[in-house]
Amino acid sequence: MIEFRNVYKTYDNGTKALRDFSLRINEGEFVFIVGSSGSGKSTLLKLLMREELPSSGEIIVAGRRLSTLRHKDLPFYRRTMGIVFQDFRLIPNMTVFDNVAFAMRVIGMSSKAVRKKVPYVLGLVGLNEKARCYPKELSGGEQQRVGLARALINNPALIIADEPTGNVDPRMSFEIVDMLNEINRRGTTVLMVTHEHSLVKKFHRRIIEIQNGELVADSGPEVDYYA
Amino acid sequence: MLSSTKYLIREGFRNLWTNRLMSFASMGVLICCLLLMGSAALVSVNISSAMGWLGDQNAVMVFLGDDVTAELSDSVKTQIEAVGNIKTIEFVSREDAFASIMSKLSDDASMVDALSDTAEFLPNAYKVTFDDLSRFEVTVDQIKQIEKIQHVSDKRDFVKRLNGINKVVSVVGLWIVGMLFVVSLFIITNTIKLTMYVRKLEIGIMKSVGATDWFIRLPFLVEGIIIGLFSGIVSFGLVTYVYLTASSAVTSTFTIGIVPYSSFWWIVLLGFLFTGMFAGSSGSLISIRKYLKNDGGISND
Repeated sequence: MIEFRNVYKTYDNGTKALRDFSLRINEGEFVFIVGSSGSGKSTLLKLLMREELPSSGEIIVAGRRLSTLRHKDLPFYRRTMGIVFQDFRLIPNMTVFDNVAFAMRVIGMSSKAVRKKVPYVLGLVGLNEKARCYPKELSGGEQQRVGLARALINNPALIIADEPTGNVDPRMSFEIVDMLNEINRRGTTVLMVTHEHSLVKKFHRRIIEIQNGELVADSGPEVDYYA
Repeated sequence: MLSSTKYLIREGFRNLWTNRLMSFASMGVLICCLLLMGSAALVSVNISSAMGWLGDQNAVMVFLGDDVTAELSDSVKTQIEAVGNIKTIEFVSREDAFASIMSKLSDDASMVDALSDTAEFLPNAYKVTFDDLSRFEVTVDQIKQIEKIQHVSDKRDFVKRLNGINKVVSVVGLWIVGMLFVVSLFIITNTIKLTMYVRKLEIGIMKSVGATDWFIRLPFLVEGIIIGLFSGIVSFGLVTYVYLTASSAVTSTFTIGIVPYSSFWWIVLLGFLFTGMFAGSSGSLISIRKYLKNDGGISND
């Protein structure tokens, strides 16, 4: 599903963020990406979301060569993935319901579809009672569940979670990862960037470690449909 | 599609309300600029109308030779008309001219007596006005070429000065209006940019879930258009009030009339609405351009 072939990324200021980076992630996998800050994790995600282009090398996601995507194709490419942010990225003056519905409306779904789908997804993350609350009335864990619901709402084939537990207390962190695990069990590929080793240890999934822009350890694909 | 449109328009109004302080500031700025622009335009319109009026007063008298008979004078008239640029041409017989002079002199009895009651010493004449005063000299010279014309009363200097003032007024007026438009666009763009900064988060989320550029742009566009329309309506109301008040005051004081509002109020209204909408929507589009141009803006930097 995701393939990095000898990817180099050097920023304009000379920072070498990724060096000869190659990686293959199959459909339906759950992958932890670990590494200290500045190791190149963020660059990896930026390249995946096609916010940045590699300096050289090729990235292929679900059959699409990202380097050939045009600006106007980007929205449609991004609709195939759901993104969960460390800082939640909820819109403060919108209710929980509207924050999730926003992601549907933005891609032009009808109000009817929104009314049907949002309560269902809020139910999945256990937040139906909080639908009318505003983000500031929720705990960090609850806010991240809203973020998760928003990432899930358009049925993406891939979930990218960028340190989703970074601003959540430990007990809630476990719950969040458990939810991602459950989402993965239903067939969605999950990519989670984290530096919390305790969490990584608890869930026995594939672990990829990056250091100084290079892949230093890979526990190997756990599901390989192409094998 | 319909539900998206409805959603986008609602979103535009919601943004307007959420950022009401900024919306209010934008409207204030736009109203000020529209008022200045409208006033400049109205003053310019009135000055050029007054110029036109003065120009009409400045008729040229074409005096015919003594030997010109009634038939001949008709042929002279056709020749004058053939020159072109003639607005009106009116025959003033020596009797009419004499009566007009007598009435002006009626206070001075001795003069009236001295002139007795003969008009024979006065020539017949045509009173001619021109369409385009800037071609005054050329036209007068051409008329002078016509046979049987004795003399053309020629007030070149006055006309020259009039033309000069008219040109300056319209050029300066245009410059003022143009500059004010650029200034208002600049201020609106910056005001909307400030709200845009606050909404960077929203735009980033929209991008991350795959909103197209137009979907991101439209609520801002709706917002700009509403700001523009509202400012246009308020400016129209204010200008109408001031113009009507001022024109009644001016008309009761001076003889020179102000251009009646009823003849062009709809141009003022349309002008305000279009300029407001244009400024508002271009302001929005310019300020959001930066956020849409690059592919990033999703994750934190």
